[in-house]
Amino acid sequence: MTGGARPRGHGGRLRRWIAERPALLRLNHRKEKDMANIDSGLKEMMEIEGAIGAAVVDYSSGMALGTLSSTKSFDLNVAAAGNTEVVRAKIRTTEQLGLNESIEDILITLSAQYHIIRPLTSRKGQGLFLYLAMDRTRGNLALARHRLKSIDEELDV
Amino acid sequence: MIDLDRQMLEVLRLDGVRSVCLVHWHEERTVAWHGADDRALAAQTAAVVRAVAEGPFEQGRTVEEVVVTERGDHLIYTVLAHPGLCLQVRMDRERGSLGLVLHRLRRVAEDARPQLPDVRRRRGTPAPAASTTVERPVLLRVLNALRELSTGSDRTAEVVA
Repeated sequence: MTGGARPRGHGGRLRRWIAERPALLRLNHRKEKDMANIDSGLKEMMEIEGAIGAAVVDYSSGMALGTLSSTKSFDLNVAAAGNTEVVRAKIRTTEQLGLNESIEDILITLSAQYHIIRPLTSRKGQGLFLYLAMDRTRGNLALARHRLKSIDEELDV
Repeated sequence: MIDLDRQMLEVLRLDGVRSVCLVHWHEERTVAWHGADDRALAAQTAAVVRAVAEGPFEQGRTVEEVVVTERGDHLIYTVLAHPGLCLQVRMDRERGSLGLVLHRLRRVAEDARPQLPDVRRRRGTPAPAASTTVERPVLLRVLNALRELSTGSDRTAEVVA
């Protein structure tokens, strides 16, 4: 495979030019696959009984990589930022104490909701966590924890 | 609050529980503790509970508990009604039942709640924090007087001590 200037024309020649460069194709394919993976992970999270919102969050920035919600009553991006603070508080103080503990998950019980935070365990998922908000009356906490664990194992970010 | 200490000991007796601490998370200090000496964890408890309680994601809803699961332990923070106080419980993941400990802790939190007459607040409004202690009969008199003021309400029953 050689370099060479990208053909200016449209249609067949450009497609052929791209097809001759497998690296480009892989890049494109990977991007689509990652998006699909986060999306399908979020969909799976929302299929958990009682789920009202799901997000994949980067806790170095507090930004959500993707969100899915069944209610307009709360802003998942704001919740993602709030949960980032919880994870950071935990990690920071663990380091201060000189402990070598990794978090498996964090459950937060509020008067009407459960919130579950689960840092991703895969190497590529480092620095990310899954976040699920559930209605307390409809949700099953034990089942949700179990499902999140298997979604974490399947999710390839 | 009087027999909170006894209830803490009862929680400690549950299978798998290693320590029970009463932590003042505003002041980052351990008020009382039983079992293993986990007083050093108070700063962490304070940081996590503060991040949850002061987070933007729950306006008006109260935090009841936070469970952090680590490799070997569950760390449970049960927030008590008294402002600034929470129970910090560390339990072995492999021994004992998290469900049972949480159930027991919820009852402790329920009991530790000050026994005031049933005044319904609108959902979503935060509980007013008492800055001084007032005699119960005084509170009841004030409450009854307030109820008399609200005409047109179908709530007319007297509060009896």
